[in-house]
Amino acid sequence: MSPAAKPRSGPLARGLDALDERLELCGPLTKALKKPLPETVTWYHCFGGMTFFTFVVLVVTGVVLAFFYVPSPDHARASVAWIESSLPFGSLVRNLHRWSAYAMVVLVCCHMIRVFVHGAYRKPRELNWVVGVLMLIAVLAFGFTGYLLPWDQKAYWATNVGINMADSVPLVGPFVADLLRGGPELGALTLLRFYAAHVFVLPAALALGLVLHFAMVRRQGIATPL
Amino acid sequence: MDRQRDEAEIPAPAQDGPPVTRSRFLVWTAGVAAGAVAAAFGVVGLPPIVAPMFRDSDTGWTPVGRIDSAQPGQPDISAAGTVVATSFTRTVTDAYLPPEKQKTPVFVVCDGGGEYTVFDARCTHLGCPLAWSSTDREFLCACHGAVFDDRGAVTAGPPPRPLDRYEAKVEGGVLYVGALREGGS
Repeated sequence: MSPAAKPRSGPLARGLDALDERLELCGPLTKALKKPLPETVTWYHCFGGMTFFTFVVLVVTGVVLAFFYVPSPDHARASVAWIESSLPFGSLVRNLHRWSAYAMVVLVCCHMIRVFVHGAYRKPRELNWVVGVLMLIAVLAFGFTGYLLPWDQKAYWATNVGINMADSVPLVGPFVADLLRGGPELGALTLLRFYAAHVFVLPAALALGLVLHFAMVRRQGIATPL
Repeated sequence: MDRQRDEAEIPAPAQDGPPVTRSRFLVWTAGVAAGAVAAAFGVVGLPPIVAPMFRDSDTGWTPVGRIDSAQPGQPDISAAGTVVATSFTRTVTDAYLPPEKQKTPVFVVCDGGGEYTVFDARCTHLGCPLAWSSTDREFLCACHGAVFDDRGAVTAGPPPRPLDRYEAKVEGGVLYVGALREGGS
């Protein structure tokens, strides 16, 4: 990682040097990794990073689950039961996914409280607070859509309640409820659109939000607590 | 905290290479931690995906029928040299789908002395069903004119190998079949 062009030996070091000679990655990488933190950083500043770590765990375990889960009313329940009972490490992967999801909600709230208590949302960081709140909504949407996927009684009725809550909003409620359900009744189309949102739309949206969030933290630095 | 002292280089133990500074130590610690996390992901995430490649299909033993219950007018399965067209029914499980019963046609030949050969009833060329000709003692394939003798060896036509066989055993007067073995192996 030394920026100076010292001659190094070994095939790996030579390969890395050749890559760096062409792409010049070492300089920016070293700059990024060696950026000093302010003296005021505490352990409470770790909540954001921990939330990101749960996101990584959720992506990895989610990809594994996607190899075996079927988003169809005929097979959803059976495929989840099969993952739990017959797939090697299946129960572990699924429960890591579940518990990481719970942990993510808890940690993102801790992170938000930390930012609020430190007053880190103030000018010039208002935009990053807004991005953060949008990502909080995405995290809760992850939880809501993921809850339906096992397609058991609890999932079905919890989603029914959630959609009825949206339905009770004045004016736009019925429209939003139909949009969530994909029709007048909770059924196959609801499961499929919750699945699509859970594995395609929301991950892409959250990844974009994370890029903006981190870029702004780097640009603006870490706020000094009040 | 005295940062001046913290930043100072800690003298390396008697060995080659650059001295171990705090930042070097932290880079290595972070690297090892990241490697451990990545390894943990691999340990947890890969087995479900790669396990099926290492799993033998254990079909167990499936009963074909009793060998001592010959009916009048039906071929006697326990008579040596008699080729009997029959079948067995096995419950096949495909992951999370409901188990299905699957009927498999076979030819059973008693070799005498309580030993049985169970031929798969499909031609080893392209899988067409075979017919047993008792007059010529040959298995005939209607698709491309393949001919197998009563030991399953190819005597005419395009098949690349002798007839496939099931492992067979007799227990308590019942003939059981096990795994399918490729002909000629």
